[in-house]
Amino acid sequence: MVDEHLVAIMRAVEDNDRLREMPPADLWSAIEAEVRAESAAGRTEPDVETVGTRAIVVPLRRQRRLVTFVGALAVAAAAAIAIPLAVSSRNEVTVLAAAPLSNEGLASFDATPTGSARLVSSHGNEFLEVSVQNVPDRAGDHLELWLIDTQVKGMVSLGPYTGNHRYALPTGVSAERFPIVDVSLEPADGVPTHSGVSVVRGTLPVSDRSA
Amino acid sequence: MVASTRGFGGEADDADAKVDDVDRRIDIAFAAGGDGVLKDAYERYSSLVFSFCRRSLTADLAADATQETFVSAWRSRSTYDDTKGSVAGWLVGIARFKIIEQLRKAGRDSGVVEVAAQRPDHLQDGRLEQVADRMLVAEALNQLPDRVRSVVEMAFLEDLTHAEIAERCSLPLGTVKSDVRRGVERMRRHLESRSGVNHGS
Repeated sequence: MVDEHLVAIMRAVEDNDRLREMPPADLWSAIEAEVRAESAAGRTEPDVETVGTRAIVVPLRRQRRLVTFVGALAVAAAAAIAIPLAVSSRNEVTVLAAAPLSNEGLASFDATPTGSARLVSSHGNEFLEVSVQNVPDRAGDHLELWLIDTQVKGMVSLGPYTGNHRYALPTGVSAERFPIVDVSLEPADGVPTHSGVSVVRGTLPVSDRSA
Repeated sequence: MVASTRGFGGEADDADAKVDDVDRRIDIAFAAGGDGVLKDAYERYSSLVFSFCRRSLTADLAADATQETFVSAWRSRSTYDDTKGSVAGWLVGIARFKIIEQLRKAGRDSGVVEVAAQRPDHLQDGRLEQVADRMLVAEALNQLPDRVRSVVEMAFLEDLTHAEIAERCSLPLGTVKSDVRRGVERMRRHLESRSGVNHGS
């Protein structure tokens, strides 16, 4: 039952292995800029080729297996990635409304969160594009995206906020009825209702057609 | 740290559930894709990746290797499978390639040889792999709540039986067993995805 390899590694762990050094403070912005630039340039291939190409010049013993593996992966990955890109590259997206998201009057955090939301229509479906900056880092908690009505009584969860991308509005849910975009901080407590801790909020300038 | 109160157990369970949740959340989110996931992964694991790079490289080269690791991870995100192991292990696996590249580059640029031991690549690689394994195991242990970590260490480093640990810590036997299982699972997830990058399985 005891994994001997694992135990051997555990026994070999030195103090050095536990030391953690923070990277330079500006490293994240360099990474973000590089990733953004590549996204803007429309790069579609995954980086497995990079690993593979370099692996060829590095005389590792596993070279042949690695190259084969990388080749297969590249094909699979290119196929997997091609579909969403093909959809998003079509210029059939209409922006219906946009609003800044602000932390004003909400829970306070070390760095003030900000963001923006756009309601877009694509191929007859409505989506919310949400971007949040200065996301609070609370271990164990996650962010959740909500649409709320102007009385702040009715609300609909659009699910966990997992990054700056597009979230589908559930069928029958309209931004006219629920114009307030809210991103909340949720503990992983299994309680499906809003935690009451909002990170950012903003109101989409849409008129209530049903009123 | 021997705990003798029963109440201690419940708190550690909660704490562990939260930690598990964060790491699993990053793994699952990364597999699903999106811009924000890279930042989450960076915030959680950049110190691990950078520290791993620092074991072989100067601070400047380690920063370069760390940057390349995360950019490469983002480009290759569709190849990451959260069922095969953790993002932490996967990143360290990518970082290993980036370190080797930096060492080779530094070796080529005559004059700039402020890098660590210049050894033949296969030896360097073997050493890197061992460092990676140890750092990932240390990372996994560090992520565990104190009680779970102590139980795991007593089981594997002190060779105590589960019954002995239960008695020493005044914990139910079932708790000791589940702590050990959790700790082993965490370490395995880190190591499995690390080796997945190399072996291609």
